[in-house]
Amino acid sequence: MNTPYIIDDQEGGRFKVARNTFTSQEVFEQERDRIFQNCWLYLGHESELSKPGDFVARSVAGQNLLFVKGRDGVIRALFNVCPHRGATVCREKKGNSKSFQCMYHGWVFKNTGEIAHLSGEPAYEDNFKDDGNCDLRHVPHFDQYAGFYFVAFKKEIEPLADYLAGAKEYLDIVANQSAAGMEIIGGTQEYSIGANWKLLVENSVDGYHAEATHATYLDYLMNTNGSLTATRLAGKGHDLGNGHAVIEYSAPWGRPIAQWIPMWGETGKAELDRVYAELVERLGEDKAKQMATLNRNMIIFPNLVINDIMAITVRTFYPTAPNEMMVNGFALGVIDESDWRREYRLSNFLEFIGPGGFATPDDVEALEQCQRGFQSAANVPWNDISKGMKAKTPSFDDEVQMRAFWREWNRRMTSEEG
Amino acid sequence: MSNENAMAELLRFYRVQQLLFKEASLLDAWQLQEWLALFTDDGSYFVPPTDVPAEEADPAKHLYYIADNHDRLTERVIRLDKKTCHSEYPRSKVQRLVSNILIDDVAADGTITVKAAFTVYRSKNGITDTFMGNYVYVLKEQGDELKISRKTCNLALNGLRPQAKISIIL
Ligand code: FES
Ligand SMILES: [Fe+2]
Repeated sequence: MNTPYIIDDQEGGRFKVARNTFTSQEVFEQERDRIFQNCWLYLGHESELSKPGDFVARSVAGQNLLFVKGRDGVIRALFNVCPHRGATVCREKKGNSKSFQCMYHGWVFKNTGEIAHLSGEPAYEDNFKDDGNCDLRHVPHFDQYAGFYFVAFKKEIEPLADYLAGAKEYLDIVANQSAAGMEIIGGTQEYSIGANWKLLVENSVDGYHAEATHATYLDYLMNTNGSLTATRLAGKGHDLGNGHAVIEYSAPWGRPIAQWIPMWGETGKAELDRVYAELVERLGEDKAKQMATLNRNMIIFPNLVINDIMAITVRTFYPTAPNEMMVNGFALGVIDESDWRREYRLSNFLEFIGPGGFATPDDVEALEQCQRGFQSAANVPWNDISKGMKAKTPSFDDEVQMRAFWREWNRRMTSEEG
Repeated sequence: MSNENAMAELLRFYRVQQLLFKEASLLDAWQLQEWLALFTDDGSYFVPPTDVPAEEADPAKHLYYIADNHDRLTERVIRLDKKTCHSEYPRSKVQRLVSNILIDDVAADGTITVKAAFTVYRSKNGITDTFMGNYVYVLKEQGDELKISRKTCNLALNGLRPQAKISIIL
């Protein structure tokens, strides 16, 4: 492409993104190599594998992986691909198993990845399987931070802790909401959107769109809680380095970690007061207040969103075409929380988030309408994300978080090394 | 079976079938307030996740797509009637097919459990999405009317690919 992907005019306070970055097949293919092969990508949460033998088969950036706790108690990320002739080995989405048998020629693998049974072994050379060539292959890089497990495919990559940069502090806020730890709640929201994946990156941390796109949700809060004036939408946006970003803000909805709303009644109030007191004791007043009362929408470059809002959602997505993405959404909750709190957490989640919520369907509509608009990219070529560019402290409804993402995206897409 | 019993069963089936067909036709016509009136005052509406077996799914323990008590169901209808409900304004065209109606259980108090199969087509922006699965209804007599006390829509899908969203009532 001859025109640049972005125009980053800091002096003039203008930031433009070329719309063909959302539509071009060439960009899509380069992203596969330069972004998805080269970055740390979210695989799963530690709570999904509680016992030895637990496994989750998951596709990450189009590759079938097995996230599994071996009989030795070690958590691994294996390619869910038969070393023999390439069939997908485990075809169940999750479960508990000592071993996995490939359906094609019957090779059997231990849940550590090692070959356990080579069918027709006498026909092979002696010691044929001793050098590991019959074992399931390990994903080259695999590490975790605060219970969130990531993989990377590239041979040379910086350590996860360095890669996460300023995002670590915010991952800690999500991970420390209880002394007992956090867990993924059963049931996944699996959907696709007919739009470029970067539109969902932007949307997930976009404080600017709430009032227009989610007018019906704000009406709903007004209807059910009487008034919206108690807590206003207000806060800041932060560039966390390496393409990660967060907005942190107050909002009128209830938070199952200690922001009470009238709908939750006196029982709810007593319970959340207890939760808050525990937070203060464990983390101190400032942290507790930040954790309990502020909302966070965070993007971890390139495709992990953790939104700690009226509930906590962990969302990851990858493109299957320039105009299509696959999305997996999970709910994160506090381990051992009371039935009451779990129920309200889920209820809160569903009223806003996900394909049946009061908000996400309208986000999907917006994204798909943008994608349609980009068909005119040749004639109306630029997106604008300049809002708050000259602000000393950008507001949560400015666009600093999108600029952080796009600068990193552009750096990776245009760097010499590729 | 005596003739009398057979007539009673036939009548029951007829009432159930009429209710389900009436419901489908109200939804197809976007008469949502009238649709809501088919529910009991504490009627609820659920769409469970597609990766948890239907027998195990529990809205207090699992992440559903939709789990509406009557209050939220009322709010859902209010929302769907607004112009600012962007995903359904302008409105999509919808067509439901309901069949395989089976009366599963009749309790002593007259509560009826019904299963049925559905296909719901939704067309908008030149794209048609298909939702299919089975309904499980709990129906209750109220006065001399049969009302929906609980409606569960179990999707026979591997997630919402490519439907993306459930912006209509299933
Ligand atoms: S491909 Fe798996 S055993 Fe042959
Ligand atoms: Fe949104």
